[in-house]
Amino acid sequence: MNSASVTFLAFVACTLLITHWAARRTRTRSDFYAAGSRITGTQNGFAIAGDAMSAASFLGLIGLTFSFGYDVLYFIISLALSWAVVLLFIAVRLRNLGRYTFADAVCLRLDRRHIRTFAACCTLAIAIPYLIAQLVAAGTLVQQMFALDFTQGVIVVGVLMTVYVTFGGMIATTWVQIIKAALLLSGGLVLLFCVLYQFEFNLAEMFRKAVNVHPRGEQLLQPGGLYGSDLITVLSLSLAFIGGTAGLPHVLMRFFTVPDARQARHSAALALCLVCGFQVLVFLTGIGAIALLTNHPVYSPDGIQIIGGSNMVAIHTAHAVGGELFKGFIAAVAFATILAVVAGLTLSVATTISHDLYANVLRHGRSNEIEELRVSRVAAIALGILGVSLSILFEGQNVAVLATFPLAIAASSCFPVLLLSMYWRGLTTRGALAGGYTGMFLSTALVIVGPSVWVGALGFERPLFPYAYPTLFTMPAAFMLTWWFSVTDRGEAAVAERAAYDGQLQRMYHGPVTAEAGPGH
Amino acid sequence: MSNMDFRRSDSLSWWLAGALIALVLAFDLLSIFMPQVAGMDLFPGSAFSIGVVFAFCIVAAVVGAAMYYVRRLNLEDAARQSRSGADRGP
Repeated sequence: MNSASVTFLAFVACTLLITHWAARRTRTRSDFYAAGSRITGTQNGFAIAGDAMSAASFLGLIGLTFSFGYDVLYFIISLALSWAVVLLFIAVRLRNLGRYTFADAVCLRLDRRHIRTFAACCTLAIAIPYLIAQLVAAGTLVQQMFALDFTQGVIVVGVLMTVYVTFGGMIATTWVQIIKAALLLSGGLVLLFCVLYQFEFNLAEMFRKAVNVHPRGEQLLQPGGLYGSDLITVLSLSLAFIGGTAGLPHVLMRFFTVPDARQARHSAALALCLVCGFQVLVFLTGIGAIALLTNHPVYSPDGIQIIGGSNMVAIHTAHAVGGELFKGFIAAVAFATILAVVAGLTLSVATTISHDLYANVLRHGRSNEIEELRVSRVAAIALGILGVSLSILFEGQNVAVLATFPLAIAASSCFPVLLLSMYWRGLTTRGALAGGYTGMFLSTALVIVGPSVWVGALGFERPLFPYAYPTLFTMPAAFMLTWWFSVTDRGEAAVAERAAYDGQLQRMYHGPVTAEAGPGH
Repeated sequence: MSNMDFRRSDSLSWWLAGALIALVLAFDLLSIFMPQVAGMDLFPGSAFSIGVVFAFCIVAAVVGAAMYYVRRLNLEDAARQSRSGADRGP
């Protein structure tokens, strides 16, 4: 048994023990969906950071830095800004307005059935491609590291994520995220430390060596490697990250696990600091990897391609600086990262199906806790089976393609509706649905006919939409349609919804205990 | 804490977000329209380009803004609690 297997099995054993402990504490709906709102701000900050630091951002961004250098900075600063948006505009108001899902906050003064149906559609549209991308990545990693085949790897991850969510709910999922975040941050720090050690902690020397050996030479630290001078793609990418992060349902629901708005603010700020630190760490490791791996006879025998592709750069770097043992550790951490992220995604889908769709849309709020929890668990199992089946079908697909869906959809659907519901008195149900659904369908359609899917995955010669990220078009379209259909809404319900904003404002400022919520209907 | 206090913290959010968005937009525009400036060495012989240092400064600014925001709102919360404690009397 190699070091990767030992580290991963230790992680799994630890998380299964936590799930067993969490299962005994998960008795109510609040425990299952929101860990009874007993998670502290610091714990939640780590858990949110864990959600944000996926395997894609660790393996993917190190690989992109290795290949393109400078242009990865677009990702890094956009991600940093996205967490500032979450902290400054979303965290506190969302915590004061909602209970279990972001739909709770949006439908406080809007039509509950329609808004919850929309929220469930968005959550499914965002979570399922994200889940498939993570499972495909897990299967691929397993093939490389654990001598299992793709299907076996996907099934192992699928079973484990279903067990975490079904038995442990939000308590287990949160602790799995906390452990994973701590492992990933410490593993990443040790990796960077070992890389810097190779250059006697001289950062300038590491950058110089990278520039000297990289095929792009001096241009490594100049813009244009990945996106050329395409302003629309760069702005779309920034908007996708900024709006997408603030619209991801599995991230938003974490703010309900803390007891009050102050802890929500604290957790968002801590997550921001951890994610920013992690992004800088990833960029520096990528630069160090260029200096260490380029033209290396073991990792890049032909001097051009890296063995296993750019996603393996982090793993090879770990091997180059720490040997087999450290390589195994980093691989296991990456695998654990995938496991934790898919557990969070599964929980968000299970929650929206049971709480938004079943309890509030189908049963009109007349279901009891036991029924709702049963539906959640069945939904988690069903999603596990669906996710594993689809991932096997998508074997060999580019995971980056699948991972572009969630951010673009979230930025164009959930984010505009959530932001306007909290900050604009004039929002009505008609406007929210028109803008939200348009943003969701338009962003999905444009991603599909864009170069990543239409050419990269489906094999057509030319894309029907020329840009990889449609957010520069779809997000403003969603905002404008929401605004237009709201201001032209003259119905009685619209008047009541606007009038209810004052009650909602009190609740956003003072919290649910001290303020009367708007009536809703 | 009155609604006016919350509106002040809202306006702080907008100011900080506006400043950070302006920085990110400036980075994007600099990189797209003046790539030779963004790729220029920070000073002669430097290993770092202006764009790389600018990006790291933006990340630091985001962290700094977040810490300032949280600290200021926590101080306001503490002041509100002490005021409400004093209003209730012994």
